[in-house]
Amino acid sequence: MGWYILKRLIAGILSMIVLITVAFFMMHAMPGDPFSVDDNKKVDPAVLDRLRDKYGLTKPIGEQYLDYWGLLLRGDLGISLKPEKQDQTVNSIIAETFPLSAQIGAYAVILSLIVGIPLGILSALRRGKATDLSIMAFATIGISVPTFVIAILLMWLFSSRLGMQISHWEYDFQHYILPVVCLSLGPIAYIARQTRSSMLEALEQDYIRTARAKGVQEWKVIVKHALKNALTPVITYLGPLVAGLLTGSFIIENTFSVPGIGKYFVESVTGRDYSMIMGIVVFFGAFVVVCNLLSDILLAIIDPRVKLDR
Amino acid sequence: MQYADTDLRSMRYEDLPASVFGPAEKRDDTEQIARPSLTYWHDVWRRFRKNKLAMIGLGFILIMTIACILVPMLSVYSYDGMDYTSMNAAPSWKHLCGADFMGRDLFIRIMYGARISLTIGLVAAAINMVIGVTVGGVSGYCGGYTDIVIMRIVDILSSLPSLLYILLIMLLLGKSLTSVIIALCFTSWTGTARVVRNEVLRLKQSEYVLAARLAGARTPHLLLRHLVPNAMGPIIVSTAFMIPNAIFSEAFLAFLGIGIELPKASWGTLANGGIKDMASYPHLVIFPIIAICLTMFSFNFIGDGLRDALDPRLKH
Repeated sequence: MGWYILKRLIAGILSMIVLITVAFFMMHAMPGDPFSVDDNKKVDPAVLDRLRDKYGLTKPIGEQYLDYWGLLLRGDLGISLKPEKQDQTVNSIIAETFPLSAQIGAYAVILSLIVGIPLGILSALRRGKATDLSIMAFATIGISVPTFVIAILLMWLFSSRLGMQISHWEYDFQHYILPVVCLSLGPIAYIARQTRSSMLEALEQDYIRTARAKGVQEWKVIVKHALKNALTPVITYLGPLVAGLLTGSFIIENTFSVPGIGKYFVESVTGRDYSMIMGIVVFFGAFVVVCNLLSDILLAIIDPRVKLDR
Repeated sequence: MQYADTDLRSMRYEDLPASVFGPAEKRDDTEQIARPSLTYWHDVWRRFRKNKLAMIGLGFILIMTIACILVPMLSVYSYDGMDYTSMNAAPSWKHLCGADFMGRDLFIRIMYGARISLTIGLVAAAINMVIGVTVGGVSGYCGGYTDIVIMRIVDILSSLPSLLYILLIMLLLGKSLTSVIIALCFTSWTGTARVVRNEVLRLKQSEYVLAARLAGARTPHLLLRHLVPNAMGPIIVSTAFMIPNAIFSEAFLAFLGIGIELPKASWGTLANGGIKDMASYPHLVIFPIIAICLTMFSFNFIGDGLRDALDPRLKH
């Protein structure tokens, strides 16, 4: 186990190095730089050149790359290059915006698990009946309908029909509920489908018949014998899900005016905010690597058939 | 005494006259198997045809494809033709889905959007399949260091949210159909590659591959004639699900405003454009959304149908 974790960590670090390198050079290959976007047209070119000088953008690209690694190894993601951010460090921007995204994401993960798994079980137990068909119909809708469509519909329903104020963010239940529901609909549908199909598979196994023959109570058969074995695909899905949801969704945060990290994601790329882009790449990358590793370890703990040393 | 065939059939066994018991006449067709044997693909098609939802989906996509080719050719409207007398017009016989804030006919814009979305979906899925099959096949077949290196690259590419790469590539290449397709294909082939690799790893242990190798077959022959055709089921399924994914990602990009150059409009652009005036002119959002959702439903149904038809063991 320890050996496996070490191996995965080394692989993760190698992935990060490649990722950072590719992202760095791809970013600098993009036409324009942070100071050449439209709203800077009125500014004196000499001033812009001095700004570029100040942030080290006039140095040769190789040197900038090495400088970046120097910063990164000291845990510093640099300074945001956008004037309106007033030299805020990327670390502090992430520290400011990430907790909210993570909070909404965490609620969404919990909601999708506590709704998705029971729906899947119910559907498997009532296979072919009306309950099953309606749950699966809902799941198909949840998988097929894009998030932004759900966001639009929810917003239309709650803001123009029910008169809810969602044009600015506040830290109360009313403002959390919509983004959380919106984020979790897709995962709920996916988890319900996965749980259903693996439950059906598990319920056909011999050990279930044995358990029933021994007179084990039905709920115990379902929860302890079938469900425990049926959760494997759900746990595999959990890693990418947590990573995806906690890092914030641009669409959701934009639609419901959530001041989370997802909003900076696209803003910084379109605005060529180099250090912000790299900061997000590094942060997301590390987050995803760790999440995937954790879900693999969790899987090995729950399901002893899974061997980690492949 | 002669009996008609039908009389004999209706008689009870005991009443049958002795004369009918005798050696049967030799006929040519007695040696034949009753029904022509079905190949694997006949069988798949037979199972797929039984799936109503999948057939409805297929029908919808075919109608959509024909409509998005023919309607813009035959219609009096064009996607950028403005008409200031019908700004924000509600749906009517003149404008089937209404018109937008510049008086452009929404129905025709949705049809042009269908061209963009379907093209992106199909082309991206095809490219994905080619890259995925090649990389996965080589990785699984060669094994060893080749496999390790390729799988590490796949891991790296799939370890980050693909939106990040897509954004960088879109800004690098500019807004166009080609760059959207390139951006979408950049990371999404990794899923197919994994599937193909696992299949090839499994199949290359089988006896027929050994037999072919002993008979002197070389690697390309083995891969193309034996391994890939036998892995076709999972490949088709993952490609089928790639189409709605690509359409969804494009709609998503367009929604962010980094999709295809205006005034051409994909469904995502249309939905995004309508969202500002949603309260007063809901039709501007509703129709593009309906188009996206129906198409996504159809492709997902087709994908589910294909999965059940190609591998009945997986069906639940």
